[in-house]
Amino acid sequence: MSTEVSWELALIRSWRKLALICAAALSVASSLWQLTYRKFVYDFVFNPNWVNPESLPARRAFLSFVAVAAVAALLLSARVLIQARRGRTTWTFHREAFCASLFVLPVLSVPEVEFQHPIFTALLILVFSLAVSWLVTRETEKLRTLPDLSRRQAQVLVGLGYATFVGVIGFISYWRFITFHAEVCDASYEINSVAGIVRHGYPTLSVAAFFFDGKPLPGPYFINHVPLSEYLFAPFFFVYRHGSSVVWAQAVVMGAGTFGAYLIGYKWLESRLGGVLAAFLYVLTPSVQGFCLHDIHANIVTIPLIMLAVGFMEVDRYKTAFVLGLMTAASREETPVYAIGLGLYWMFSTEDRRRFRYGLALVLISGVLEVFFSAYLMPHFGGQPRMDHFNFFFFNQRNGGSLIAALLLNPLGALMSSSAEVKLEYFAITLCSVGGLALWGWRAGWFLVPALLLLIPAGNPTFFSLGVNYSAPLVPAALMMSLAGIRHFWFGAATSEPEAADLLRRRRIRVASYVLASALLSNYLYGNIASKTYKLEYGQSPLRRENQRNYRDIIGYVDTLPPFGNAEKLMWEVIDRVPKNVPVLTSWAINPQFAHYDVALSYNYSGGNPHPEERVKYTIIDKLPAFQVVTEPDIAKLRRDTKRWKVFYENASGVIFERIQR
Amino acid sequence: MLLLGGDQHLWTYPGNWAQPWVPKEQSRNLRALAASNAAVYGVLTDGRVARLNGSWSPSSSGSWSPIEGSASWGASELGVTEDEHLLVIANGKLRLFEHNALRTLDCDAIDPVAVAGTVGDGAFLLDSAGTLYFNGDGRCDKVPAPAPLRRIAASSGRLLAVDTDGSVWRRRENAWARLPPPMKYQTGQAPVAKQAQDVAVSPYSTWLADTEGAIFMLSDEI
Repeated sequence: MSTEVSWELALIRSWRKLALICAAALSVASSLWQLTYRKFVYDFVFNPNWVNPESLPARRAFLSFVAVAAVAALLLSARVLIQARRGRTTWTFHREAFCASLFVLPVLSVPEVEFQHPIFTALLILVFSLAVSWLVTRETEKLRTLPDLSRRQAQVLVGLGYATFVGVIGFISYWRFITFHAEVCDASYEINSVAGIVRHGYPTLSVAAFFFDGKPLPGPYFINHVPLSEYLFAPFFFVYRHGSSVVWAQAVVMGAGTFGAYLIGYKWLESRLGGVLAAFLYVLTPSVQGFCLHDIHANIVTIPLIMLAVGFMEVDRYKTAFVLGLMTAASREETPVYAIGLGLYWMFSTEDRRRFRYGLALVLISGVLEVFFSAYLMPHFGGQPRMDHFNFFFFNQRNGGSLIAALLLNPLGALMSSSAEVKLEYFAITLCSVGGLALWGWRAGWFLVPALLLLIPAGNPTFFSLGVNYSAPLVPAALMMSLAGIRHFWFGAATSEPEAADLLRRRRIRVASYVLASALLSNYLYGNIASKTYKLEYGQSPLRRENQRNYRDIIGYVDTLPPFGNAEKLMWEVIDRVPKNVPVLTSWAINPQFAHYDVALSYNYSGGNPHPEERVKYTIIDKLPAFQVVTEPDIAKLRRDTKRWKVFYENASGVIFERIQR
Repeated sequence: MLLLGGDQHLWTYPGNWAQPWVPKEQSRNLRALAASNAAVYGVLTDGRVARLNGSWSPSSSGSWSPIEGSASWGASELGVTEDEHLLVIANGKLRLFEHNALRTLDCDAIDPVAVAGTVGDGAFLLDSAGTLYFNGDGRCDKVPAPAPLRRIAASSGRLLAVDTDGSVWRRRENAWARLPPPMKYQTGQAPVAKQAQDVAVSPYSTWLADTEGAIFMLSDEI
């Protein structure tokens, strides 16, 4: 007796499967076509109103790909229909859904897509990550339990994550330094500062001689910034007195947030597996990586410090956490505001009275420090906090009070300011790196306080460019809220009642695979560890050694690392010929390599009185090809000035002029 | 760096902060241009040869001083040596401007279409077939080249050339080396090698223009 059901019923039962089979086949055909005809993909997707005549053969070829896919889809569909006719009522969809999502990958590999269309890219990342998550969850259903990692296993994995971050990011930032891609602002400034800490006990500055008219160099850095966190870099410089040691030191310190992330994940997700997941997410965060390539900055150190502070507080190491909180506050003149976010989080995120008291103390001390830095220390040395990056004020005056009044009394204006295109793009890039789960992490929303205070009023687009140090306040908020968002889904709403281990396991695999997929894709697109491009140059032109790919004229990124060729080798020969730690004046491109000298001024930049040429014994000018900052006229000028300068050494990459003593 | 644009106007590089190129204010349109470290000469649209006075920095407008009698030269191309001698292709022949008059040089038998000055009366020449010659030391020598050439530029110790296929060559110590092609980066595309159209040199850099009018700087001169 036949058990076949009617064709109508078979179609009603199987249409979802059939539709997904067709979508998957079309997606695979599209992927293969995109990989074959990469040249036309960008216009095909992003300029759909224009049919490039050159692309017509490729478009016709697409139909052939689709025809083959259609045959495959028909065969698979026939099989499903036969199953349906024989009475089958259910099918799995996850493999088809995964295949249907594959076509986004070739698009994402097209040059510049991620920076030209960040919001669209974020959507593609989320869609693909959801498909991965579904696939992994269903394919691992046979796993009965998800055993947690041993302490040793967790230590090894976190250690590997840290070593990867320091090894790769430290190397790229070192490479950037030795190939003369570091900039005066702010590699020279901060190397000056660290060298000053080791030599004089406090941060000093010489490259910005215009701050010190008529005064001896180097001068106290407090006239411009209060970079106290750079005391963390000083031991590295003490051991090896070279600018490259500071570059490596920054990667070592920034990577330390991996351990803080592990502690947070371990406690919040109640497993070592969760801790390792959090550590990996930190390592893969594009912003954290990028900060190490945007020269050297004191404020970004707050990111690992906050991660460590929260982590230690979670494991009840109150005093250690509090000290780390204080270090966060004292990192630079604006970082007490970051620490206030941390203190507020400790005060209000749990009902732990001891944690509340530490949080309150941190808020109060941070407030005092902020006043001390901005109203006493910097003015004492003739400076003041910079307000020129902000453009959202209540009164005509550009000061803190006017800014806070605008935030409080003009919330719609603040909302309007926050919805500028560059800000939305930055939020999309930042949030998609952990699958947008930060939107479910309001438990850690206190960390948004400094971000809101500093980022909403900022009108300068550099505040919203990946890796530029100004964007640092948002990163702890994004990280902490993302981890809180993971926790939200890790346990889910059903934790109050006994939930089957199987359900919990499935939930964890689903969340972990989703966030790892989005983190890996974001790292590929926006990061620097085995990534699509290297984000090497920051800040607006003309300060560029490369001119390949650009985001808003703020981030210069390249497909491959620049070579360390003969020009660079000969330039280092010139640098090595300069007597050690004498006052020098250098061209822009090579100033960071001399910034560990007590007095290292930059030609056509340092200014000040006396004139830089009167303050130094040697002037070193490079002959490196450079976009927009040219040195040929400077060399010609010094060559002509035979009464004051003579050539001390010269090769094909640079020339050292020695000042003739009168 | 000075550039004679497709609009026959002079451009200077770099400009002020964040302005890579700025138009140089000057009242004359130009047909041809040649410069050394300290001297700039141009062929005006009326055929006269003129020297640019004043600095060529973006802030300086400068002015052109035509050389008396140069309208009759039939000047088509110019070259300037490092010691600021002006070389002129006048009525199809290479001449040196000296003591307010044009002097015949050793390569008088050649009909050059391009000239690149070196030192003194030294100059590389190209004829219309792309053959390279060197005028100097009292002789006119044919210089072996790897391919027929289209444009040349010279400074002390090096000669840069673009051949008729758009490849770029450098001659140093009598040896030719093919240089990498200019690479253009465009949104959505892998880097594409472009054919060079023209070449220029400054003391430590080599500059290229591709067939689409984009300007490139060689990234490693050594």
